[in-house]
Amino acid sequence: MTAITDPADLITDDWRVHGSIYTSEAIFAAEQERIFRTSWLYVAHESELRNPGDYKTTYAGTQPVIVTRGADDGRLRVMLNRCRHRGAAVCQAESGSANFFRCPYHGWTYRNTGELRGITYDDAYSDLDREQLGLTQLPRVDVAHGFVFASFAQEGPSLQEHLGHALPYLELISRQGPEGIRLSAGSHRLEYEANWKLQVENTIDNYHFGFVHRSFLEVLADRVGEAPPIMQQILFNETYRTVDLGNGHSVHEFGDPRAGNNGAQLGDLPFNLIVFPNLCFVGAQVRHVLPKRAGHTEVRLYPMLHEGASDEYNTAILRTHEGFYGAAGMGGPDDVEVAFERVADGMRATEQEWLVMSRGAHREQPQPDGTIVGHSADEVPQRAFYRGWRRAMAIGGAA
Amino acid sequence: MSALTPEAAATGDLAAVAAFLYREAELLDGYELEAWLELYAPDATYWIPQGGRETDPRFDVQLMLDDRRRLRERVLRINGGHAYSQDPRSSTVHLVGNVRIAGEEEGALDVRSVQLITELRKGRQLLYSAHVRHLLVPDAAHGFLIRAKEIRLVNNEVPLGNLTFLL
Repeated sequence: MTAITDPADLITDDWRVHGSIYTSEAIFAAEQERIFRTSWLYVAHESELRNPGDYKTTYAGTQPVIVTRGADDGRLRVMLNRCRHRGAAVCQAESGSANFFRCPYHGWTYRNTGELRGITYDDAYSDLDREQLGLTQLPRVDVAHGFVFASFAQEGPSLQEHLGHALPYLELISRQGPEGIRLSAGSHRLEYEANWKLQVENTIDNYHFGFVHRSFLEVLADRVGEAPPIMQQILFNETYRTVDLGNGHSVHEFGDPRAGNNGAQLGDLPFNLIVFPNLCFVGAQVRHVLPKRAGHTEVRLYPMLHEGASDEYNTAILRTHEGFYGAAGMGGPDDVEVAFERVADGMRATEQEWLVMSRGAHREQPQPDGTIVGHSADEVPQRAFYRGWRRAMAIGGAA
Repeated sequence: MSALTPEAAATGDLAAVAAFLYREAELLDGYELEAWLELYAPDATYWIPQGGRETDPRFDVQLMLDDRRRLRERVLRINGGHAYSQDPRSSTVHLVGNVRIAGEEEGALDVRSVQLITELRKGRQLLYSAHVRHLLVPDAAHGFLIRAKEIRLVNNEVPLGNLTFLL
């Protein structure tokens, strides 16, 4: 075991990464403090909250929150799902529409703006400042191309600044359907016994595909009569590339990101995108990674339906998605088995803790706009993520 | 058999229907997946819903809604040796109970049962409970063929781990 006190030292300049970033509860707690309490966090897509009064429950980091559209003002708000009296969660449902949230414990009632509306039998309180006892709001909420983000930080970079070079990709995603996209089909929910970052890292890891998903490639080969060219494309197609977009974000482009989906599966995006720290886009899905503990993670996969497309088209997107993803999918569970849980098993061997994340580091091409371009199957997205991680986690700021 | 009234079906064929469900369970537990696939009609559907009774596969994501082609692909994948989520394979016991014939639908018997599926994999034992519906059509070779199977897991809305063994 190496004695390390600054998390920034867990990633070396020659891209060795210390295994404790996946296993240490202290690191996990520090991540919540230094990343999730400072960064912008994805919480919803506007299509989930179309009408005044609509709400959904989700998590900002490990903290349960309610996202609401104000019944009176139509404004989006994000607030802790926790009664200010004795702490019970005030909203149980995953989504719905409500003008009020009433805590079931002692009946305290809040407007869907978070404002405290009523205290039951309130003559027993002499000096309660009700204005200070609304549901605790996240101070900043903003929307980028339909994607709703919130931040626990009062101050800091704007959402636009945080998204930076990732912003144009969100715009492309928002225009996938004839009239945009919607998340109306619910979500696949997965849980696994390993660290949340393993799912984020694996979202753009083209190196793994031919190995972990060999059985799926065999199914495709059986379906079309010949081996699919995906590995050849990843290794040798020069229009395929990975890009470090800065601020921890990254993308994998397979050809021109504006040119449709390049003959990929129905509804699939023409790129995969990671938005730091825990939002991913892959295939036809929004992937929201929810850290629970150092060794436990929940993932929600929301198929993106195309607004303005036929019901038949959208139904086909769902069936295609289910073929690979979800607990019964023919692809996703192999990632859970190998890339998350077998990694967690291996990480118990702590005598030698350093991992190698330098694939293609020597051939990264820094661009004038600050992005870094690499080959398709290089570990550019992983390094992009950990550059962001290292900067946020460093004691005293920038590493 | 094709002109069975619900009453006749309920009284006359329950034993045959139950024996058929036990046979399916036995093939699954024994990983005789190619023989299991033979029990499915060419136009068969195999559905593991996600969500309650109101879930609509046209609009809502499901855990699985396969036609027979994709069902065959599942078998190919599991038997191919490279499906890591089934390496090692799950050991299962399908306990089939409360079998009844609920009626007839377009020439098929509408059969309801409950199933308790015990799964052991990598030292961890999990239980899955489901309300199961089969639509069965007569078949000379197997007694019946499955036109549709619907497996409503009670835990189909909670975060799930690995459901890649066949239910």
